[in-house]
Amino acid sequence: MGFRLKALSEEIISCAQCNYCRVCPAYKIEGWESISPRGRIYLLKKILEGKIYMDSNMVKDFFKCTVCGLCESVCQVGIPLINLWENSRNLIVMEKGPLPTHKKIATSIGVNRNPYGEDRSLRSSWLPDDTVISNSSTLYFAGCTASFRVKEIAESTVRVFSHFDIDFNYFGSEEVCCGSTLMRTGQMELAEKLVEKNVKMFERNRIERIVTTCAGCYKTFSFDYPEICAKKGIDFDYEVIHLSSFIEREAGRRIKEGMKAKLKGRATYHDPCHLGRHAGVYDEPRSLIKATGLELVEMEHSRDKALCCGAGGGVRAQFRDLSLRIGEMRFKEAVNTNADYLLSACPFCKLHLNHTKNMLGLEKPVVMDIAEIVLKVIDENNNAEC
Amino acid sequence: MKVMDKFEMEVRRIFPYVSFHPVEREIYSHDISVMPSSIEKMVHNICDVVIQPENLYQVKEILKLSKEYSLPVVPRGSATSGYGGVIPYKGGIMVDFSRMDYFEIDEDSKTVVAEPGAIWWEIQESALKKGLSLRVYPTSAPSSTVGGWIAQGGIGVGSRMFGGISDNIYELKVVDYEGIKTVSKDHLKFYVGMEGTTGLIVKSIVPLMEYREEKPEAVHVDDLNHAITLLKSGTIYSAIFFDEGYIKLLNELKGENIPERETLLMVKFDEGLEATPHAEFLWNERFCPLRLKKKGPSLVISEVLIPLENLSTFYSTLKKSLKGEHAIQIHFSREYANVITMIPSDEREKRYISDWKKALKIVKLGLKHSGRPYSTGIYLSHLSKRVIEEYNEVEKFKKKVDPENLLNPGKIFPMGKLPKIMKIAEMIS
Repeated sequence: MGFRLKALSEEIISCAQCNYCRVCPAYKIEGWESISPRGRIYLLKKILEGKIYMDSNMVKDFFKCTVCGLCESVCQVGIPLINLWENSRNLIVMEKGPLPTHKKIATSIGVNRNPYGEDRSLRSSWLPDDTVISNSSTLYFAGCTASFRVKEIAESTVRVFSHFDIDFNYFGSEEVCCGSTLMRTGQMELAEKLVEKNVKMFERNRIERIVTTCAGCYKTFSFDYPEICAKKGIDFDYEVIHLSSFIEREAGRRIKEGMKAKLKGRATYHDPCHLGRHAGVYDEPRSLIKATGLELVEMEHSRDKALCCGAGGGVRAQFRDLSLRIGEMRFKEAVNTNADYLLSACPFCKLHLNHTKNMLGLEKPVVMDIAEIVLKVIDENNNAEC
Repeated sequence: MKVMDKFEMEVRRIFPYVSFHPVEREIYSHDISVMPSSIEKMVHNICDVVIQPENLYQVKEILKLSKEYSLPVVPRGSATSGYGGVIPYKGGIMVDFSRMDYFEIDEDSKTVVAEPGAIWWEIQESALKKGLSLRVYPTSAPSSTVGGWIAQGGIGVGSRMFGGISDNIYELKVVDYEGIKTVSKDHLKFYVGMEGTTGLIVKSIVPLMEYREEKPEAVHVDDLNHAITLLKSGTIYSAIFFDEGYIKLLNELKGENIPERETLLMVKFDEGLEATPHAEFLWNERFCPLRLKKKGPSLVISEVLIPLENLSTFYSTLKKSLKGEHAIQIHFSREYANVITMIPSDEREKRYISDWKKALKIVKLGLKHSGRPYSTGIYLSHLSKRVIEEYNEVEKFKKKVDPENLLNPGKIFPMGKLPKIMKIAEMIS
């Protein structure tokens, strides 16, 4: 293990141990430094020096991180911590194997092309019958969570496309998981196979632009695919754009100026980690929310300091209680804004925040995705015209 | 049943937050210092248990167990110091105060009452919402704790106007083997800067001030004398001097374009003052002196407190003696300057030992200029007499309250081989 970690030694040693990363949501909940970013780096250092052997408890603790990247945003040394966590997870999995639930996810992806164990032929069951799918070079990549768990997001997305006459392609039941979950849980071998499979599909269908509703898919296609493809000598020359940026660009002005009926109420926006901190997309979702007429109020922590919803990095799958307690911290911030809507731009965040809300037994705020709120303002205007 | 098994059973019965796991114990047995392996071997030890008390009752229980089993007690805040103050030299009970982090701001008396694990910057953020502000706080405020800084002593942001932390405490509540004590005024000297060797701080009352907007001004000075003259010319809340090496590294790491000259940052409460170029940036950098680690990846740091009247001669001698890449920050208090010298290094290479010797040499140079190390911790306990003004009185007090030397042994009061070895190392540096 120590030998494998040598490639990461520069990052590991440069940690100042200043503990500014105490903001880590998993550490806030668990309270033990073996979970905290600085504690984990210290352990990596000791493993690197051959002074500690990684036992199964340590492996578990290491994977309690949601890889939200809040630690990276406060690190005074500027260590690329997100990469460090993902790379070291990969090394741990190479030596120790994946955690049980993560292994199940990989098995499901291998068989069903989605992590949820769902029948792959039902992947497009959400698709409205009247949807027109063309051979456009613009692909709508719905992703696994919107296809199987929060279908209303995928449905809203294609309805929004239809409303604005946006021509798009969609792979239907042929769509294959992007591999994000595998990459976040250190299972790179299978993830790389998915990369090859997806890129072949893009090539075959002459895709030029990929629109995602999922922040995880967005990060994966934007950052991981180019890196993996470069390593494998595969061309990856696609414009990857998140739905919020895409709609803002294609129809933002039409929503803001052309739609007379506006939504009423107050909304707060939860920055998905993979879209915000990992990819720097902060403004477009906010701009869209304001265009719908909703009053936008920020939570105590937002943008690059936003708290994680608690689901990412394989934590929801493997450590459900921890993920819900992190979700609770975030949801309470939303409640404190007195917002009617808690909006996000990621199906996985919506899924988890709704789960948290149900656990807390709260009515408000209503959790929705950007795609849904845009469709809602469209519907309001359609109704007003009638 | 073995003694330690009985101990473990008792601990688990009393405290909800406990870890006996060897890896957790290892994690809690270090601070930010990285010593050359020869020194580390001598110092490195692992605590027997980590306990996270939630209240005063539990702290008292810890001390009861410590006495019953003759186990040392090591209090721990955020472990952001580099002097080994939280290293369990003789093993024992590591008391992590992170769960005792409650604080309350009293707007009428303009004070904050804080538990030891409260984070300075969280207090400041709450105070700001009420139109108040801390008078002084450490440059590691985003993570360092109230108990930690008080136990270490020293100066920080705001010290030019308000002095060190020792000048900014109204009252402490401490627990030792005799019970709970409330101390103030002259008695504070037995606890502030004593690294928990005389008792565990469980509550502090610290003064606040009305918030006034901070106006940073960055002046590129001709030399340090020029900076000292400027300092004397006005009422300054906080002042930091950066040498050209520091500015150069900062430009390199942050992509800034600050003139690579010696620079004095003065922060005033003058409402009419306009912020000068780069001043805001440098002011925000007050929390990030360890940023330079990126250049290392290791950093050898020396901190010495020099009387202001000797600062100029100390600094010029220091600059002459330093060869190779280095960076210096000087934080000003009312009577002292904390000269922080940082040398980028690499602990994986042989040069780390020689760089570390340079740090000792700087301490020695500081002593020659009537200065003293910023803190002693475990590594510099042989210099405690230089650091603590009334050492003999404090030592007598220690013997009275902790006759078995169980409260953070090896810190402040020298014990074992290490102080002798460090003394020799300092002599030959």
